[in-house]
Amino acid sequence: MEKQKKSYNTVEKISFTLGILVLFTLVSFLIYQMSQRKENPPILKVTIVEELLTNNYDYIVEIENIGEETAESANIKLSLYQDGKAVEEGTVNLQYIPVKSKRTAWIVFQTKRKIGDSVAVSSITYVKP
Amino acid sequence: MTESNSKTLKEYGRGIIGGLLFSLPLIYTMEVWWTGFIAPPEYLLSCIVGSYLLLLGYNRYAGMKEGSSFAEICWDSVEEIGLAFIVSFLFLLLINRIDFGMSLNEIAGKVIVESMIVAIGISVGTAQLGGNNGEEEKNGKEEKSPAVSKKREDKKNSSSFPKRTILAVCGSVLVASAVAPTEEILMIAASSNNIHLLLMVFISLLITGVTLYYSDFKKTSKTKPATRVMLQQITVDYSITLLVCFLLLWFFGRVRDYNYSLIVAQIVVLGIPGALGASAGRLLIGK
Repeated sequence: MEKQKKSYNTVEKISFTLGILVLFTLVSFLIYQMSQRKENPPILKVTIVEELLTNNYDYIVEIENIGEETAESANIKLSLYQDGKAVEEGTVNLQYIPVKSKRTAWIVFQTKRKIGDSVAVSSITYVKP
Repeated sequence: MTESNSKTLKEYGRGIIGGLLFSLPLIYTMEVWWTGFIAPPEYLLSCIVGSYLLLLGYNRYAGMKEGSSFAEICWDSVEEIGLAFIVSFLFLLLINRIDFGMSLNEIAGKVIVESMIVAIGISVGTAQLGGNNGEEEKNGKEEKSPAVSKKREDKKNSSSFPKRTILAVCGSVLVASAVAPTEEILMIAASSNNIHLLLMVFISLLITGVTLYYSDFKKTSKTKPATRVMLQQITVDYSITLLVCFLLLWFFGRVRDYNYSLIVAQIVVLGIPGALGASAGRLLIGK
């Protein structure tokens, strides 16, 4: 007995095409990533901008991982300087910062705002997962 | 023969519900999201290939359409994996675990990891959650005597080795993957001494034996095989479970940088849910 060949309806054809497209895109993307990958450790780029829209003395801290590996348990310590002296410190803790990703944090200082204040990164620590 | 669009959409609906049923614990687990961006691209690629092979195996031995050709099984598996990627993406978006401000690496990684289980769930859901479309009625008319019926039942329940293996792997993956990425497996393994671990092995074997040969589970054979055969099958099932557990732990980064005794302990700890999946889970998802 000859086996009946199955034909597909519109919904099946659309989902199959979508499936192939998604699979092809993801596999190509992963192969491209594999070919481009270097054994560089995480590199954290910290940008600090003063937040002027609120009444508090706060700063927006943007941390971007421009390295080739994820950073785990990242700890960024920031110090507020007034008249050349560190008057207050704050720490930002982030569980993970994936490759090419950005995380945004806010830091609020209790010290009164003064002209000539500056905020600097004192230390960055992280673990390689 | 062409199915109607509405019937296909109903199948997809069942599949998506099945996929969510099995994968929601994983979608809500943070260690899985982390694996998405920590895992290197070759791990993610192996995850896609592994999921696709499992889908092929499951659709071959327990899929909804019996007697399908290899090309049809490949087609169905592509549909299911595509659906799994879309469902995972939308669900992660819904629970705010991905957004368009994230890097492509992070989004793709999270979606790929989550869709591994969603895909198997979709396949199981499509095959198991639906009605029988008159099949039972047809079978009922054909059955002439209790002897014929028993023979048919036993034929249905007796499984070939590849079928048993594939379904055991799928069952084991579905159940064990819900806990494999969690820190708890590592914690239990680190705090267990050798007596605990031996007891865990014993309990895993007992679960498999009781499920397959003692408790009269649905889809188990009514005729009990010889003790030697039973022990053989229990051992094979448990070996499959341990291998699946090792692969899951490897994928979730629980094997790298740990000493051998801790790796073995983790495999044994994960072996309990794995054994449950390979025995009871296999019966639930199989035909």
